[in-house]
Formats: sequence, structure tokens, C-alpha cells
Amino acid sequence: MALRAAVRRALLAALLCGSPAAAQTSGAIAGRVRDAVSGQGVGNAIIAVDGGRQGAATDTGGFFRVREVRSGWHRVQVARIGYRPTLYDSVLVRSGETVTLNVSLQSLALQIESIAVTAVPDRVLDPMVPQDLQRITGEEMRQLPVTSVEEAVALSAGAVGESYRGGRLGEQAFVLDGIGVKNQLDASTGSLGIRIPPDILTEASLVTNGFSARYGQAISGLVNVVTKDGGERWEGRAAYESDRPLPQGWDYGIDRLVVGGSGPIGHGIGFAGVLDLQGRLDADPVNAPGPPDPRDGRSQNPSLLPHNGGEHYDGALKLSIPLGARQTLRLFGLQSVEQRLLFDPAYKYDPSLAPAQRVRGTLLTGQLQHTSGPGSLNPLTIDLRVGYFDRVFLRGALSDQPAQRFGAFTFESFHFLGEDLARRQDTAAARGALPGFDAPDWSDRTPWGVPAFFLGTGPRGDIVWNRFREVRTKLDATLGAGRDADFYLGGELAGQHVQTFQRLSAFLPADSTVPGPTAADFRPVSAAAYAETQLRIEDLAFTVGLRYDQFDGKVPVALGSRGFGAQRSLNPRFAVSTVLRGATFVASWGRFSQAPDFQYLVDATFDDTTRTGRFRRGNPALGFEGAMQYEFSLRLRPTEVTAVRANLFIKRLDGLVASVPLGLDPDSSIFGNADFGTVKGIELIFEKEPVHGWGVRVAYTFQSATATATNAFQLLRRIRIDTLGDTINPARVEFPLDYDRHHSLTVVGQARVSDGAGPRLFGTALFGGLEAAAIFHFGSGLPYSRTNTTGDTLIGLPNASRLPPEYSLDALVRRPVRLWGLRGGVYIDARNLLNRRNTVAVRRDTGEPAATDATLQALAQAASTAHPEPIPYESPRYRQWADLDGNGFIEGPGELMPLYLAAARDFAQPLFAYGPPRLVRVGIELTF
Amino acid sequence: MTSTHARLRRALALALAVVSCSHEGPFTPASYTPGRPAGSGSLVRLTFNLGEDLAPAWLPDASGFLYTVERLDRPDLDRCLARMPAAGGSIEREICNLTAASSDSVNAYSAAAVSGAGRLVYVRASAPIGFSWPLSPRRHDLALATLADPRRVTVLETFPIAAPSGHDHDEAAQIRWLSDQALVYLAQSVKYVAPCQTCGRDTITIGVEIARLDVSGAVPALSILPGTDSASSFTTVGSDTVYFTVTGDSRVFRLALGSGALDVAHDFGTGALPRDVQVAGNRLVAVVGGHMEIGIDSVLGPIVRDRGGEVHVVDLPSGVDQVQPVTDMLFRHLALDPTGRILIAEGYPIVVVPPDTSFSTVSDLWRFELP
Repeated sequence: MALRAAVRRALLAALLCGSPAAAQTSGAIAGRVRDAVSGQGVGNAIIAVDGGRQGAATDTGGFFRVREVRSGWHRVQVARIGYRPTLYDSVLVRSGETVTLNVSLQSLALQIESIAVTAVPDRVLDPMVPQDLQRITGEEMRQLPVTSVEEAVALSAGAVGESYRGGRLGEQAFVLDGIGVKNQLDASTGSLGIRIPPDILTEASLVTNGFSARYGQAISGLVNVVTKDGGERWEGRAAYESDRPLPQGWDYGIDRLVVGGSGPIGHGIGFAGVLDLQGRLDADPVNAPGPPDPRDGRSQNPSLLPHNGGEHYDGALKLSIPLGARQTLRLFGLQSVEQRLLFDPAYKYDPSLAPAQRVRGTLLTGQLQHTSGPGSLNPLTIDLRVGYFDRVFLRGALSDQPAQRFGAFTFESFHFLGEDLARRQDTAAARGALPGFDAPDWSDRTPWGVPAFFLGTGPRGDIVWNRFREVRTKLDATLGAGRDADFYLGGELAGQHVQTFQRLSAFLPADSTVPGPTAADFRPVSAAAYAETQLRIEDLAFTVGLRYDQFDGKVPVALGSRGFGAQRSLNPRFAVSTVLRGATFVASWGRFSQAPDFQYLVDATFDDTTRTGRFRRGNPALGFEGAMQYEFSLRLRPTEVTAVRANLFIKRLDGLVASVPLGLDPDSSIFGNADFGTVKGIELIFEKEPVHGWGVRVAYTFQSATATATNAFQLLRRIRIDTLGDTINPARVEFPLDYDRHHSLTVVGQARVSDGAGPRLFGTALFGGLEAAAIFHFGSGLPYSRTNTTGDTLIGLPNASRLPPEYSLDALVRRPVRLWGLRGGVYIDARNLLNRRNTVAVRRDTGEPAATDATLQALAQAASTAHPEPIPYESPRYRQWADLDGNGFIEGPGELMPLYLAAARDFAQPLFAYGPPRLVRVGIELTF
Repeated sequence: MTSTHARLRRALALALAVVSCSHEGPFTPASYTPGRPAGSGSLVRLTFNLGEDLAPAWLPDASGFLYTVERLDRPDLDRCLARMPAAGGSIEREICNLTAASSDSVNAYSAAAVSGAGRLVYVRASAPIGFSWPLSPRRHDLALATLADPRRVTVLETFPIAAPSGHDHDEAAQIRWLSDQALVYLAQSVKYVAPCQTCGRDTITIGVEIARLDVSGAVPALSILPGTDSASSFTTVGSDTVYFTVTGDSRVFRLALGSGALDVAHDFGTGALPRDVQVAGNRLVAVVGGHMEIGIDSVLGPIVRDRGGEVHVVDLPSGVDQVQPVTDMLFRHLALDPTGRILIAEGYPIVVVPPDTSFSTVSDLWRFELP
């Protein structure tokens, strides 16, 4: 009963205090100031945050609220004439949450020492937070077996990799310190291009519903990242982790070095900087079975794929500069470079000809924040943000193989054939065969020798280059109107620049059979405005917002054409929440929209795979993709340290880009906003906070995600012709989306041994301070489509079949140590500890990862028929073990077919049908 | 302080120990070829190609040799230059025109020669598929490149040309470098002759003279070596001496380029018809005898049909002539390595089906290890 009463009081307090639910990078501090003796509210008390940079004054009832307090640790002072000031040294504010701070001021006459109080927010039951917000802090990321923000966010309920709530890839936006960053060019098929080093994070979170009208560019989720400011004292971390000491089979060539620190650099300026370098000799390892034939080159070391290494270089810097008493300027810069060698099974034995790629991302942001000072009756916060984002992607053949100097690190920029031409977008010069490109021919460097399956001599001849740049300006204003209302207003304007270039088969001149080089260069403009308010009426809290978005692709459709003008979208959002018998209930509804990938506006598509063909006619008239979501959430706190959340949602997708047939020619299609779908599901989250040495979080999701096409390159297969016979419309038939995972379960457990516990050796507690964390993940199978053996006809409906379920167990164990007089630790980070061989893809014709014997026989027979000629002794293709009669020739089916069959078996190995293997690394870190 | 330093050293040593562990790397493709010739002994068959293997020519460092290989595995039946190690074994490299644009024609590279500085000269010819190669080559160039980048070509001559001597050069063969700036070639006349009214046409090549091409300038300068009329084969020793044979003559001549002195290096005697001469040190080798027909066509003039002959090894100081004892094969187009110990030759099996004897027109390369 006492607990229930306490919860009710906490809820009431939170409800009365309100919160800045709309803000994703900041939270609020709210509460009530009372007289310690009388218990009466104290009016006109000043609450000063971080020395008065932000603050508020209490009303006559003693209530106060400080809005737009940045996520992180803060110093809060409460003062009132006639009372002894009270200082809270470390108040942790988390984005989107309200810290409840109830203060009892002592009269000066009593001469009682102030008591340090740790403010504890109830982030579960706060009814003023309508979002489904799943958060992980930078410190938690260090304690868990995760390496990147993407991995951390993927622990959230509803996430399948980087698909959220069943959506396609690219339906999410990335919000860094309040400003949206998105690869608007090809988010659905390409990476963002920048990676935030976890060491510069305060926290990262995923919002999958009802996100604030402040944010657009997404219809399935917001990945919200808040970076740390340099604090009042220096702190930092240096860590190196590797699997070098591990034996073959466990050593995947991993090296990672992290160096970071933050602190004051004088004049109140805070600095934070991190350098995060990662290298892998096999950047995409697979847990595939070893090759069946001992002559297969990979049989010597089946763990690593050749020419599959990669390296990341991520560096971030941040300065927090106070400007006067009320303004703060924050400057942030991040550059990420990812270089990958890409394993191509056809170039297994001539890996130097296999493709490679480089993605370079640069992000520069500036934020100028003005806050009204303590004592403002209607506190106002204004944020002006400017961001510059630049992403350059390049894939092709390397002009020379870079030397790997330390592990996978080359410490140099890859050089690509035709790179200069691509950068210049010189389609005229690119029409001829390009220098340096040799025509690929059957490789003679395989163990099998025969001219089939494996390529050599020259690369495939593709050059794909694109660049997306954006300057985004965003203005946000937050106005507090008493304690029962908040208003949020703002807008943003983005000027973008899209450049693309593509050349295929560059070893040939462009002619009627070889497509000519394509390039695009256009400058879209996007704009948005929003208004949102949160109101509190008794036990009810309302969030009402409206967002307006528009974009104009400004694609030059023809000489002299003015294009298709701006596309517009209006997105209302509404949420209501209340307290119901010790629980919080939230109902929300919202419409969300995002501009389509700009790649679909122009003819040349890029970063495509061979699954769908490379060519679709671009559509400069494409409009917004949209979603309408309805959700009910219930949050409970059964005990003080446990919480339960349940979210029930239905999301209607519409206007998604798909390939629409043009006429009756199956190869003729155009991108159109023709796809629609439905996602519905329930998410259950149980949390036991990490107290008494352990904590656990269990997230289960049951969902169904369907649409008429699973990606933009997929043809709308089910069509109907209207009664007039001249219009083709998509049929009302929906198929499972590619990331339609019905069941997923994620369990995150953490435990810590107290410092002196456990057996002792030479006076040292062996397990003292030991930290352990484990992540168990289970997911039911994703859908796929079955086809006939030739792959040109679907069997059944699209995505009607399911992969087998998959699971994995990751673990991290850290033992604190002291080195050089510094605190530090040694740790072991193990992913897929059980070495589970998860099937992530299958052949569409058989439904199994491996080709059947009949398929292999057919492949071999076809190859042999194409090249039945004898192989003479001096040929590089000659294999003595296959020359059964020793006459100096490999000739006839009896000698040639075993080679063709072995080559087919080698080539058809289902390498990428399997997920990653067990990856273990040991690390050492120092902190200061 | 000492303790701190000791701890630092220990920690540093530990860190270095971890870092110095090397990663296991992915597999790298191995060599899956035999790496040696198919047989052993003083006469070894080097090639088994069902197509023709022609015109071996040693590399300057004697690490291997280039020859022309007919690619029967390609639909266009291209002829490529192949590099084989000196000891034989597998082809190490091929120089071909494999572009898709060239797949509609037979592209043939032949008569390659490499200078000490790595300059490569070869004959580049092409003809539409369907023509019986080498009948009527559509294009016939003398191409200059480097061994490192053989496709970046400068065309020295496009045949046929009218030489300063007044003779027509229909094509070049047996190219040799005198230096990095000058080369010599056997200028040939090409005739297409049908042995009988119902027979297909043969391609008959007849040596015209030995030409010298100076490639030091922007424009190649062509000159004719004096006294080399009707030369049927030649070789060079150093940059100043040319040995050559003459159609229908039993002698091997020696020409000093500097002085212009011409003498007889060796005479194989009456009735002997030496050709394909090679010299290294005091050793001279040549093809003699065998099956060679010399005739006069009323229209075309002299006609020579050479099916190959025996390999003679001559010690120049003593004049002792030894015949390599091979009875079932004839040889052509010899290539003697700079040591004079290794001889590569086109071998043509003699096919005896009583009562007839025929001579194969398809050659493989054979390797002689000379005493």
C-alpha cells in the first residue's frame, strides 16, 4: 500500500511538474521547493542550473520547472533569501525525461548543514513522455558487448538491425544534438556515412512512435544521439582491443584503438574529443561451414574470407563555449572514413581484382542556445542550429592493392580506377573504354583450372560514385507558460546537393550493348515548420503538434524545364496520457512523412544489387512517403526497481516508393509512390534496474509487417487493370516486408561483483569489482521469396517463405585493474559466444543455404558444355591430378567433369547465407 | 621512481607482446600447376596445345622465352604471346587482345623480341573470323611496346611497305634487337598458293632481305643490311654481328655491321639447305635437310615450302657438325639460349601411315638440352 501511495504521489508530482517531452536532446528539472519546517511551498526561490546558465523561479506554491536542460550531469543550486542555499552537485538529466527534484530549504537561523541529495527521476511512469523511448547511455555501452551506436540501438524492442518496427531500411532519421542528419540520397540502400564514437556519447535512444513534431525525415524511428560536453574536470579513456593472441579459427584480424577525453580548456570552454580506429582483416565474417574439398584454397583457413578486410577511422571533436551569461555555443565536428575490400566469390582466386569501396562522411554542426535566466516567469529557450553534412561514396576496382600495415589498417586512402573521371562526372570522356580496365576472363588461378565460374584478368568494370551534401539550419523555440503548458515552435531549411556518376563495364566502350555512363547533379531544397504544445489538465496530459514538410527535388528533367515544383506534407500528431491506478497510459496518433531517397528521382540508380536489375526510370515527381501510426502504451512499476511497458501499435504505410511497370514490357518500369502496407504489433519490455549487483532488461516484440512491395526496386507484382483497361493500379494485396520478424526477444543482463567479494589470492580479491554483461537475442525467421530453378518465376507469393529462427549470445567480462597508477580494466568481449550458425539467407530455388547436387551437376554440365576443349599440359589451367591417363591433356568428360563439378561446388558455397561466427577479443583500457 | 619505471617497462612489454602477435591472414591463392615440364632428358616436349605453338624467342636474361600460342579455346582462335620459364612447365603469362570488341576477329601476336631494357616488339595482325588464318590478314603491324605494358603500343610499320631496296616487305619475321634503339627483322614476301586446282591455298613466305629499323627517333628509320638478298633466316650476336642463311644456299654467312665485312661462318656442304640459324658463343645451330621444297611458279616466282628439318649443332672453331638424333620429327624456328646449352624448337611430327608419309602442320615446342 505504501508503495502504491508513493507511486501515486510520484506520478502526481510528475504530472504537475510536466516535462519537455518534445525535446529529444534535453530533459527538464522540475519539482517543488518547500520550507523544511512548515512544509509550505516557497515562492520566488531561484533554481540555477550550472551556475545560472539556465534556471527558473518557483511560483507561489513552490513549484518550478527548468526546461531544455541538456542531457547529462548538472549542478543545481536552489536559493531564496532567508534560506540556506542548497546545492545538488550531480543531477543526471536524460533526454525526454523530467528529473523530479523536491527540495526542503532550511532557514538560515537553524544552521543545519545542507544535505546532498541525489535526484532520481521516474522515467517509467512520467506521463508527460508520450514516446516509446528506449535509451542506452554511453557508460552502458561501455559495459555491454556492443561496439557502435547501431549495435546499441538494435537492442531496442522493435528493431531488426536497422529496420524499426518492420519498416524498410532508410525509414529512420538520425538526430545528433537536436539536428537531423540523413543520407537523403540513398538511405534505403546505403549507409549514413558517419559513425559516432561511443566514447563521445552521453546517450543514444530510439523513438519508434509519436516522436515530436520537431523532427521529420522519418516514418519508422528516430535514432537520437546526444554528445557529451566537456565537463569541469578532465576525464578520458584509452583502450585497445584485439583478437591477435587468439589461435587460428578465433582470430579474425580485429584491432580497435580508442582514445578520448573531455574537460575544460580555460575560459569556461569545454572540450571533448575521441579518436576511434577499427580494423578487421575480415570485416564481414561468416560462420559458414568449411569447404568440402581439401583442395579449396579456403580449406587452409576457413575462418577468414580473402579480400574482405575493412577499416574505420572515426574522429570527433566538440567545443562548448559560453557566450555571456545566457548563451552557449556548441561546435561539433565528426569525420568518418570507412574503407572496405569486398569479397566477390567470382574473384576468390584473383582477389586483387575484386571491388572495394570507400565512404567518407563529414558532419559539422554549430548550436547557439539562448536561455532565459532563473526567475523568468515564462522561460524561453531558443536554439539555432546549423549543420553541414557531406557524404561521398565510391565503389569500384582498386588501381593498386593497399598494403595492410597493422592488421587491416592501411593508413592510406584507397585509389580507384576511374576515380578522377567519376568525381568530374565526365560522361563524355567515360564513353570510351577506360584506361586500366582489362576485360574479365575466366580465371586460371583456381585449384580447378577450368574456365568457369571464377573470373580473373580484369575487374567487373563498375564505377559508382555519389556525393550528398546538405546545409541545414534549424531554429527551435521553447516557451514555458506557467507550469501547465509548454509551447514549441520552430522550423528548418535545408539546401542539398546531389551528385551521382555510374559507369558499367568500363573495359568496353559504351555502345548499343553497353550502357553509357550516367550522371546527375541537382540541388533539392527542403523546408519544414512545426508547432507543438503540451498541456496538463488535472490527471490528463495532452501533446498536440503539427508539422509541415516540403521538398523540391529541382531535378532538371529537360532543358529549360522548371521541374515539378515542391511536394508538401502536413503531419498532425497527438497524444494523451494519464495515470490509471499506479500505471501510466498513453494513447498517441500521428502522421509521419519523409522525402523519398533522391536516388529515385533520377534514371540512374546506384548502390543496387544484382537482385533487381540496375535500371529503373527515375521519377522527378515523386512525393513524400508516409505513415499513420496509432499506439497505446501502458507502463507499470511493480516494484521500485522494476518496470514493465507494453506498447500496442498499428501503422499504416502509404506512398512508399516501388517500381511500377510501364506498359507491358516487364523490363520497363518507373519509380512511383505506389506501395502501401501495414505494420502492427505489440512490444513488451521488462526492466530490473541494476541494483544489488545485477540488472536485467527483457524486450519481446510480436509484429506483422506487410506491404505491396518490399523495397523500391521490387516490381509491383500484383497488378490489376481498371474497368477502362487503360490504367494499372496496384492490387490490394500485401506481402510480408523484408524485415517482418514475427517474434523477437532480447535479454540484456548485467552483474557486478562487489570489490572485496570472492576468493583472495595474495591479498587480492580475484573477482573483486568484476563486471559481466550478456545479451541474448532470439528472432524468428525473416521472410524470403521462393523461385523456380532459373530464378525468373516466383513460387507462391512474394516473401511467403521463412528463414529458420536465429539466436545469439554475446558477453562481456571486465576486471578492473590499476596500471601506471591509473584506473583501468582488462576485458573479454565475445559475440555469438555459442558460435551458433545462424542462417540469414537461403537459395531461393531450394530454400536451403547450399545448392543441391542436381543444381551443382547442372552448373558443371553447362560450364563444361561451353568449354569442352582439352587443357594441355603447359596451360595454367592444367592440373596434374586430373590428368588421369597422364597423356599431357585433361580431356573428355571423364577428366574435365570432376574439375567443373569441384569448381561449381566451390563457387556455390553458401558463404553469406550464414551470420557472423563467434568473435572474441581481449581488451585493455585506462581511464583517468 | 625505480618502481614506477619498472612497472612502466613491464606494462610496455606486455602491450608490445600483445601487439607483436600477428594475425592469421586469409588464404592466398597458391600455384596449382606442375611447375616443371612433362618429361625429362635431353629432349623434352614443352607444349601439348592442340593448336600451333610457334616462333620461340628467348628473353634477354634467359629466364624464359616468348612464343606464339594458338588459342583453340577461344571462339575467335586468337594467337597470343605466351611466356614460359626456361625450364618449361606452365605458361606464366599471356599477352592477348581479349577485349570484347576484338572478339569478332582473329587477333594474332607473333615474332616477339624483347630488348635488354624490356622493350617489346612484335607483329600484330588481325583478320575477320572465318578467314583461314593466316590467309589475308586484314591488319599487319610491327608494334613496339614494353614487356611491362604490352598493350600501350607504338606502331613502327604497317605492312606491306616498299623498302628502300626496291623490294616489297609483306611482313616481318624473326625480329632481333641489336640494341635498345635498333632492331633487325627478316623481311618476307607472302604468297598464297594452291598446290593443286582442288586444294586450298597455302600461305607461302619467302625471305626477301634483312632490314634494320632504327627506333631512336620519333620516326623509325628503315635500312637494308647489304648482301642479305634472299635471306631465309638470321640471328644476331651482340650489336654488331649478324649470321644469316640464304634460300637455296648451303652456307651460313656472317656480316659485321660496323665494317660491312661479309664472310662464311659455316658451310653445310653441297645440297644442304640450312635455315633458322642461331648462334651462341662458338655454337651454331640450324635446321638442315628435312622436307623442303623450292620451286618456281610461273606467276608468283620462287616458291618455298618448308616442313622442317633436322637440327644440326656446329662447333664454329672446329667446324664439327652434329645432328640431333630425332627420327620421328622435323623441326623449325630454333631459339638457342645465350649459353648455347638450351635449344627450343618447333617440332612437327612425321606421320607415317604406309605407304604414305605426311608431315604435321601443327607444331609443339620442344626443348633440347645440348651437350
